[in-house]
Amino acid sequence: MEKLNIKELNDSFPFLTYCHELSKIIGKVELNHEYNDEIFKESFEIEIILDPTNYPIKIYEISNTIEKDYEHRYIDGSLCLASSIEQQLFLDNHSLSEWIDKYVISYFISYLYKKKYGIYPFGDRRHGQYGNLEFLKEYFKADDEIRAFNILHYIKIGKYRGHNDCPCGSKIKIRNCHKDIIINCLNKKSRFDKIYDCLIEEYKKYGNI
Amino acid sequence: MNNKEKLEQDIVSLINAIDISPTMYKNAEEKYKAIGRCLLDNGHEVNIYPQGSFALGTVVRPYKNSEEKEYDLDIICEIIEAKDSCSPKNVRETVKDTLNANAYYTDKIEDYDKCITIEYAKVGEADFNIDIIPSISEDAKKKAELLRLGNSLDQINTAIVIAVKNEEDYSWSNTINPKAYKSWFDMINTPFSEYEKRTRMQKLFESNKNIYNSIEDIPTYFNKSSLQMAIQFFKRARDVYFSKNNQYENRPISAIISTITANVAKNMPNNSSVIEIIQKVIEELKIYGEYRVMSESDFISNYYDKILISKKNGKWIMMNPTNPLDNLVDSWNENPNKATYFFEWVSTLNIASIVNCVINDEEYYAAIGNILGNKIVKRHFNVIYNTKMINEGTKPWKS
Repeated sequence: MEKLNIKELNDSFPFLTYCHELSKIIGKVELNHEYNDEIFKESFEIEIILDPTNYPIKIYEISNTIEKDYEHRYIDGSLCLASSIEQQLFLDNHSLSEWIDKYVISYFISYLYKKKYGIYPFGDRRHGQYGNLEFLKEYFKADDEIRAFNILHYIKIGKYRGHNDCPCGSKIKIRNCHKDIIINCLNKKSRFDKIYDCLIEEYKKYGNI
Repeated sequence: MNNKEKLEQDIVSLINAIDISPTMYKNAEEKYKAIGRCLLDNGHEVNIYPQGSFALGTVVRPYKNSEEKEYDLDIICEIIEAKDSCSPKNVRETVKDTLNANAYYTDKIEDYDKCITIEYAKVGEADFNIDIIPSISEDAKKKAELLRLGNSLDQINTAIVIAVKNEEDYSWSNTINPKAYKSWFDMINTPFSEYEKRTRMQKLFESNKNIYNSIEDIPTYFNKSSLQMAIQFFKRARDVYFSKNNQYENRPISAIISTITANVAKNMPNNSSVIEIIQKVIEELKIYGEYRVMSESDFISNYYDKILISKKNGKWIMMNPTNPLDNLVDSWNENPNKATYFFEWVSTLNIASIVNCVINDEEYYAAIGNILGNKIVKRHFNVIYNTKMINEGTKPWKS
C-alpha cells in the first residue's frame, strides 16, 4: 500500500482525521453523489484501522446507520467492501484516498440503494472465494472461473512461452490470446503468487473451489 | 413560505410540466377524430373515445430507465355491431385493414396484443402515440350477469370487450367498462374540480390565448383538480420507483392508483390541497400494508372500516367500482411479489419528512427528485447541484 498522503486525505475528505498514535482514520464520510437519477446525501461515521500487514483494510461504520443484519460484513462487524483480491490489486498502485473514493463511497451508495429499492445497484459478489474467483474471471477476461484459475495457476508456475496454448482453454496460442494480461501479471508475480496461495489455503479449509 | 406551501406549489408546477400541453391535447383530439372519420368513410360505424388517463385528466409523461419517453394515449374504437355476429379477428382486422389502406397511416401502424398503435412520435410528427383499442359492446348474456352482480342499467350499456391478438390467435378480452369508470370518477372529482374553477380557468386562458378564443373553448381536461394531480403524482412516483428497482413490468396499474386515490379523496373536503390528498392516501396505504404482517382476522378487528383493499383466505381483493368482474389486484395473487413491491414503494414516499424537516434547498429538491425524477426536477426548477455522478460502482462482498 502506498504511504498515507495526509494532504490528499484532507482535501478529498475534509471530515476525516488521521490519528497517528492509534494508527486510525476517524470521522465522517459525506455522500453527495448521484446514480441512476437518485441523489444520495447521507453521511456515515467511520473508523479505518491502518495496519500495513492487514488485508483487507479494516473499516467500521460507527454511526450504526447500517442495519445489524446487513449481509456484507465480516464476523467482527467490519465492512466487506469488495473482494479481497480486488482491493489488494487496487491498493498496490492507488492511495488510501482513492480507495475510500472508489470502495467506501460505493459501499454506502449500494447499501442505501438496496435498502430503498431492494436490489444492489452494481451487483454484489458471491460468498467467500467464489467472490474472489468471480473477480478474477472479470480481471483476466476469462470465460468462466475455472479458466480464470487456470490462468492464475499459469502465472504461479511462471514460465511464459508465447507459442503454448493459452491457459484460458481457448486452444489459441498465448501470444494471440491472453498475452498482455499474463505478461502484466508476471510483472507483479509476487502479488499473484500470494493470491494463488490464499485461494489454495481456502480450498484446503473449505474444499469448495 | 413554509415547506408545505412551497411543496404544494412545486408539485403542482412539476405535474403541469409532465402533463400533456393544450397544444398536444388539441393535436391528439384531431388525430383520434380523424381515425374515426377514416373508419366511417370506409363504411364502418364506430364509437371512438378516450379511455384511461386521457379520459380522466391524469396523463403523465412515461418514465422508463431514468428517461422521459413519449406519451401513449388510449382510445377505444368500438365497432357498432352485435358481438354475436362478429369474431374478434373480424373486429381487429376491420380496424387495422381500414387504416392500413390509407397511405397516411400505413407507415405508422404497429400491432400489439390489445391495441393497434399509430406511432406519430416515431415518425417525428408528435410527442405521442395513439393506442387504438378495437372493441365491441358486450353481449346480452354478459350484460345480464353484470346487472345481477350489481351494475346499474346505465353501466351495463357501456360494457365492452377488446379484440385481442396473440400472434395468430384472436380472442375476446374480459369485460371492461371505461365509460362507467369515468362516470364514477367524475362524480367524485366534480366537487374538487368545481372548487376555484373560475380562477383556475381564467389563469389558463390568459396563458393560452393563442390556442383558445374564450374560456369556454378550454377542454375540461385542463380544469385540473387537486384529486387529479394527486393521482398524477402517484403515477409518476410509481414509474420512477419501478424503473429504479428493475421491476417496471410489475408496477401497479394506473387503475389501482386512481381507484384508491379517488376512494380516499371522496371523504375529504373539496378544498383539500394536492399534498393533503397525497398524505392521506399514503397514510391509508400504510394501514393496508399491515395485511402483510397481520392475520386477516387481526386486521379486520384492528381496522374494521378499512375495506378498500382486502385479503380473504390469502387472496388480495380490490374490486373495480364499476365492474364486478374485475379484481384490480388479481395479479398480486398470481405473483405475490407484486404486493410486496407495491407496499415497499409506498414506504419510500417520504412526503412527511419534506414537509416537516428543516432542510436546505439542495436537500429539498433532491428529496422531490428522488420521488419524481431528479433530471426533470433540475431542469424544471433550474437547480444546479454539485453532486458527483456515478456511472458504475464496486460490488460488496461477504467473506
